[in-house]
Amino acid sequence: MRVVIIGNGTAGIHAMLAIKRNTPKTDVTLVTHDEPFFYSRPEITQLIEDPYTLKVIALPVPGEILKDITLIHQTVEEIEPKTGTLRLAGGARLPYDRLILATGAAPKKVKIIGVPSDAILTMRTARDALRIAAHLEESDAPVILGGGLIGLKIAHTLARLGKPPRVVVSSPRLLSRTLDSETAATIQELFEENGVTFHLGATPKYADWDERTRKGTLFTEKGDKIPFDLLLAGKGVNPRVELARQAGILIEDGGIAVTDSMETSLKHHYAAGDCASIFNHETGRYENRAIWPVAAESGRIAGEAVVGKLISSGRFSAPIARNAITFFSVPMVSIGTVQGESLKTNVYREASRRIVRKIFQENGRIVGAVLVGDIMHAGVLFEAVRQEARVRQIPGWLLRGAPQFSQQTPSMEVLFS
Amino acid sequence: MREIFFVPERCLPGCNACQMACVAEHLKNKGLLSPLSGLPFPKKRQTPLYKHSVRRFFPHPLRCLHCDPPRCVESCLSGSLIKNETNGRVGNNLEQCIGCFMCVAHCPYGAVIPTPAEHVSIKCDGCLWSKAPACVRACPSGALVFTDSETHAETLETQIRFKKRKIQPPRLSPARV
Ligand SMILES: Cc1cc2nc3c(=O)[nH]c(=O)nc-3n(C[C@H](O)[C@H](O)[C@H](O)COP(=O)(O)OP(=O)(O)OC[C@H]3O[C@@H](n4cnc5c(N)ncnc54)[C@H](O)[C@@H]3O)c2cc1C
Ligand code: SF4
Ligand code: SF4
Repeated sequence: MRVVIIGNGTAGIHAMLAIKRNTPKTDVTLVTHDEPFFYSRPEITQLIEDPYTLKVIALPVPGEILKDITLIHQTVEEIEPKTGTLRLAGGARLPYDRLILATGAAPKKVKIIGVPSDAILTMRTARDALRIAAHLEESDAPVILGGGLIGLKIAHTLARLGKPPRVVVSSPRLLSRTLDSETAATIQELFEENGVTFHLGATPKYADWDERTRKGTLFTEKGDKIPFDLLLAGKGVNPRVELARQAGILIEDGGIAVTDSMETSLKHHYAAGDCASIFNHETGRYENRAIWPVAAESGRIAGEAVVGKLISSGRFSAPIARNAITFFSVPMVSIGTVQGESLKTNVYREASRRIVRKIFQENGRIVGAVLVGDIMHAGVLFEAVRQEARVRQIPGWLLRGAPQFSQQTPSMEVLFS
Repeated sequence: MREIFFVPERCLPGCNACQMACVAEHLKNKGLLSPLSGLPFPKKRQTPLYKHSVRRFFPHPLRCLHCDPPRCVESCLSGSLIKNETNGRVGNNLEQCIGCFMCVAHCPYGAVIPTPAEHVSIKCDGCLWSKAPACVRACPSGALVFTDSETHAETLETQIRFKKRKIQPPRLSPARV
């Protein structure tokens, strides 16, 4: 059987590993138009700091598997499901028995009147990061559009390089989908201490831009005038679904609709990672959730399903948003629902060490958590949210993040009965 | 799969041989002698692993279940967490870890411990490249046992049965590896 995987991001890698581990004889081909090796996408910010870390951000793949697969460095232009072939750029054709689409996502383009959109740099690939590094050398006033995780990740990198940027955010606060307002303010303070300036609630209106000097001024609807010589955007991503749409595969919530075993609406065609929308049994809708652990898990499941080795382990855990990130040595984690009127908040604060731990409950169930400064037991909370654990009182060690000395594994049954 | 079990009654308080063995195992030269005897102050002992097991937390080695599939490994952004395919143990390659702490946010048992100052996360790796964990090899009283859970449950039952019949249980020999 010949399996073709489009994409060598984490979803593609995990699909490949799952296939090769279960049935080493299966013929696996990966097609990618990114770099023809495996690297970690979230780590590309390191390339801005030091272009020679390309080796460091490579992901380890066992050598015997590497030898055994075919990697094609080419763009796929069309899927022909009837004949089971892919048409590659340049005209070559590639037949397949099973196809896994792991095409990931592309950064949203930002349009500002007065600046051509290719002068606004985005960050998704290693090459993007190297381009930013090259432009940064001549830049003194970089401006970042967007106050989400990616925007702040770039801001963090630039601040560490001694070029603290200005960040233009259209919502009234930072990380509006990840944090509640108190912790968002904590993070904002942290960035401001490190020289980053924020323009909150500011929507860009137009810009004066000189192509020769690459310098300009950004005008916002509030009336701010922000000088810049480098524009970077981190405004979220769009799933890459053009190939699937052309082939007539069902699209939901912007991504390729897939079942619990990652199969699309077309038989023998699977999708995984940022490009897929996974069915949420809770809400009854397909949801696209573009985060790394979901991409890895769905990739593995797709691989196992393709070779018929799927060990059904209940429902997929994708629907819960979660992320962990560290800014200026202050770690933070956000899990599940973190804002809303009906939430009961359990808080633990330690101002001197900049620690805020919040656990959110709805009708007695744990539905979300935000941890800043001390993230001990974050995974226990994630599991509690996943199982919608009902607790009358949050155990002290969980709220305070204190180490637990008990000899028992704090299993969910013991904790949340 | 074999796991590490702790039998508290057998533990000799203050012995700490298991902790020493853990530090030694995770030092580059696998020995405590040079750091203990060395002058000036032993730098080699100051690995993140050592510092944190001593100063702030007590990383509980028995907590990691070396899951299959391990959620921590799937969430790892740098590929530093790995599962040894032969013996199933999960460990962290500290040299590659970037301290993003995705693993901390995904382990349902709280077995991964973040060290924000050192930018790495640490966990018990069951000494995944050796035959048996160093702590088990070091324990003089058999308080740490490396076996699978059925065998361990059987052993415990035998002990209890002996006690009920007021017969002295057989003398505890050091853990067999
Ligand atoms: C800077 C940055 C920081 C991030 N930080 C985090 C974080 O902290 N936590 C987190 O959870 N997530 C983070 N993410 C998101 C995370 O990287 C993605 O969720 C993850 O990489 C998705 O993997 P994927 O395999 O689905 O897609 P991708 O990694 O995007 O891979 C898609 C692949 O498909 C290939 N492809 C697409 N179309 C074609 C075609 N037509 N022909 C050939 N090949 C094609 C591409 O070349 C690429 O190799 C971050 C992302 C970025 C950019
Ligand atoms: S660290 Fe946690 S998730 Fe990883 S293998 Fe151990 S118990 Fe499982
Ligand atoms: S902290 Fe280290 S081990 Fe944990 S997910 Fe990040 S890179 Fe992997």
